[in-house]
Amino acid sequence: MNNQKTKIIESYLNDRASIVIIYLDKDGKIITFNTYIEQIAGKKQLNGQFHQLVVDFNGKFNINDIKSGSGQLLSINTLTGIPITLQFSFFETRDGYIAIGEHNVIELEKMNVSFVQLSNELNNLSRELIKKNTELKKLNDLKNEFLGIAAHDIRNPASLISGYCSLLANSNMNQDKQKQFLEIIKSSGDSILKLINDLLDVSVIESGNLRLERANTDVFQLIKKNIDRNRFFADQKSIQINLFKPEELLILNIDSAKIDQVLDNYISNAIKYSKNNTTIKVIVKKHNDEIIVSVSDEGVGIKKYDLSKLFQFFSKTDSETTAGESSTGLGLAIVKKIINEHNGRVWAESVLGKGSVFYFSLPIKQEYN
Amino acid sequence: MHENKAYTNYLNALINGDKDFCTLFIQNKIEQGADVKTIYVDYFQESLYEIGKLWENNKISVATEHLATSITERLMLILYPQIFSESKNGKNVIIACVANELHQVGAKMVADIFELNQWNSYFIGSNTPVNDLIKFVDEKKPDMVGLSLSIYFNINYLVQAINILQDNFKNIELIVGGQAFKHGGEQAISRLKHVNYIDSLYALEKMIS
Repeated sequence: MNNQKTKIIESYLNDRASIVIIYLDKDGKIITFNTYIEQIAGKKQLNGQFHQLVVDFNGKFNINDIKSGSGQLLSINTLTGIPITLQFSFFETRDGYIAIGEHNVIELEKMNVSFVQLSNELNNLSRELIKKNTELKKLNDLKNEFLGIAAHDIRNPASLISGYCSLLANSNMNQDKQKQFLEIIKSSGDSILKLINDLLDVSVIESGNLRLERANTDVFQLIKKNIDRNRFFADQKSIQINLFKPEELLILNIDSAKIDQVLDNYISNAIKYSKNNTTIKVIVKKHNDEIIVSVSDEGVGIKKYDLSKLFQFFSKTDSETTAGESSTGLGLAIVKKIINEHNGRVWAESVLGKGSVFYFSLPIKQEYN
Repeated sequence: MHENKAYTNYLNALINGDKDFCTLFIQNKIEQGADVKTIYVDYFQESLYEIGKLWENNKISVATEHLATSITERLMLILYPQIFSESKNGKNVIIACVANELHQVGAKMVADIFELNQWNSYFIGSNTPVNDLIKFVDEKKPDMVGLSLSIYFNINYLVQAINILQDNFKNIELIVGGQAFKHGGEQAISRLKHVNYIDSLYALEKMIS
């Protein structure tokens, strides 16, 4: 046979033949093999290591098998985990031996891999579908709860407004009385407005559209301004608000309007649930790699059971406000979402009858989003 | 633990491919008030480990093993409404099987245990190429990434995936687990820095709850 023909046959055997061909030296040690082996045993491992088929043999065939002319190899396909059986015949050559292995179930295995892959994908899609469906159901429940609460909480102040407007229109009452009625109408209008604002916030948050507009903010100044705004309500109950200045300048890259909303919730809650002539303390300090803000009051306190549900939507507690102020049951849940979006934490401590402390933390390094 | 006879009945049905019996069995368990985690560990995991052993010892065919896995994954679908109705804590995890790895049921259980503990999980399934994984991590910015390995011979794919993830995302929190580590993969992993090996669903729960 001339050289060229030998080469053609060699390359055919190496690349295209549907049999395993392994070249061995005189001791049975594996020198090289054709590419078909990868189809049944999986690709070569990384780092140039041999695949399992060869590892099984320690890179070597049993010399007794070789001498007897045939042998069997059990191995595993590294891709599918499917066991493989190969029947080998051995032929002596000038340099050693050639082992020829037959394996007839390759098509079946290929189909099996495709089948497993499809079935996996189908299962994963089902998982995703059920997950989405469950989330939608939860949102729907929340929406129904919204409608119920909105209907209930808007009806009361709305009927007050309507009633007092009728009284104002029909009688010739004195100016003092008129002023009193107008105040009731205003505060009823305010409480409807507050509820609607909270509901809008919740719908933005629940639809996943809460976006932070970050800017470098002096946290102490933000708190100070907020307290100045709330001081009017505190004065009405002769409540003193003490703000403690931190030792260093605390600048954070946060959404200042949203954090202001958080502060507003904490501070106005503290006023709502505090008795007259008490003190509210606001402390901001650096602790490890976060900034912690706490608002403590000497108010009515919260039951332990209520404490765990405090930051959930519509979780009104047994605690009553001290001057008939209203609560939507949404504020703290909104607070939690805003702080979580900043990768921070919220929590509260309370002793019934003594007062409560509300905390939130913000990481100093604001990386994500 | 489960009562022995009931479990044996379930295991036999699973080996025989009796999907209807298995479905009824699990539905009964739910009606009796068994919690999801117990069903996962005491029935799904236990039976699949046992079937895996039978297959390794050539007692059952690979087709039987695949059918049992497939039935188990369908049974998991029954439990999903319960799993996904947990409220969320705002943390995200990505669970994937590395490239070349087709065995995904264990990894999926891990993703579900995260869901039960109020995490949001992204399960991206079997045979995930490293590049796809990187893209997904970049997009979702998870708090943790979990990689599963069932077949020990694929350990190099796992090590490669970990190296590439750590090169691309500094301080990424990584956990690994799976059947492969019962055959000694733990050693290969212990050489890697900042990778936590989780040896059971209970250990996982202890870590994240």
